[in-house]
Amino acid sequence: MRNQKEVSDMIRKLLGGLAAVLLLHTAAADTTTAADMAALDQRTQSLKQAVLDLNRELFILEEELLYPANTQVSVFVSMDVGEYFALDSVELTLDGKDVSNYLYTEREVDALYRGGVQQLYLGNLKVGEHELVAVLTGEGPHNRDYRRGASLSFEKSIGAKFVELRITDSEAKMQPEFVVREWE
Amino acid sequence: MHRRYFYLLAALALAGAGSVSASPARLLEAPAPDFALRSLSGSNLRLSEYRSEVVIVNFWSRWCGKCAAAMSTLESLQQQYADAGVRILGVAVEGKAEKAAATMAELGLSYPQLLDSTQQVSRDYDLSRLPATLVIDREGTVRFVYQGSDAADAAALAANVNALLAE
Repeated sequence: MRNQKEVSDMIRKLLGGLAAVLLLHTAAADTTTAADMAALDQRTQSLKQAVLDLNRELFILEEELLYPANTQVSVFVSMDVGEYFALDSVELTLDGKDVSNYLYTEREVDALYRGGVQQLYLGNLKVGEHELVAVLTGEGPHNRDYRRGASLSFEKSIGAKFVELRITDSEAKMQPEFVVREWE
Repeated sequence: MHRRYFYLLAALALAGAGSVSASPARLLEAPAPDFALRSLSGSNLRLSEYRSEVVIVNFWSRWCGKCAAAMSTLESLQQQYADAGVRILGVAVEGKAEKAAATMAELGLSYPQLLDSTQQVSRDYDLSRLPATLVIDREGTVRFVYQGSDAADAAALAANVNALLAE
């Protein structure tokens, strides 16, 4: 019975082999006729697709190895509207330890405005009580610098934990609101 | 304050003294480490967002004597290649906005200047000498590294940029 590491190594070798085959095909193309080229091109495309599929599977496998479900914790950032807040950075601490300090570019903020959800952090936590604190900076109402914290105490049990840091506009207060919540 | 940054670079150089690769040259033909830094204009810039363009990253400091010549060279390249898909980014390793703004005004620079306020990016790039200029291809791979007075060699830079644009 092969373990996951061996499977991962095998996939890496296979990817390398496929890349070599692609190179050989490219070299061989110089000596083939035009009629053969279409078939060769089709085979090359299917090989490329196979490499992409394997690469995706390898990525998933690596993630499962590095962050097993029973210890995995993920933190996501999302934004709704954003009229009262232009996000600049998020500092994330877990149990008092800095785990992420992320600067947002205009393009990234725009992606969040348009409904994108960003995985800000992926790590491992043991079972038990934990505290997550997020400090957000940016530009608030009336173009003023804005810095606000949000925190969440949560229980990590067996199974992956997903936490969302959601930025919304409060029309009533004309202020941004920051909510940290667990995904069910 | 100059001494502080001199010590920083000395420490960075000594940290890698046991290996030949303790300089940005170790990054040749390797993916350029990604970074996001605040620019003098206030916006944040991320290197990976310029994938598909040829990017020149120049690390400099106000106390470095040869940096001004390298930056002037890059400014002339900026004028020459502004519309050709070449992006030039300056990284002030001191991370001080006022000093970087003063240098930008003195030299008449028009390309963005980023502030490495924590020196983390300088560490990621193994800086041991300034100026250091890296030329990164459209795929995000470091293809050429210039350090010291070599960073002001306009002809060599232009030739290599042309080669990357032609790929």
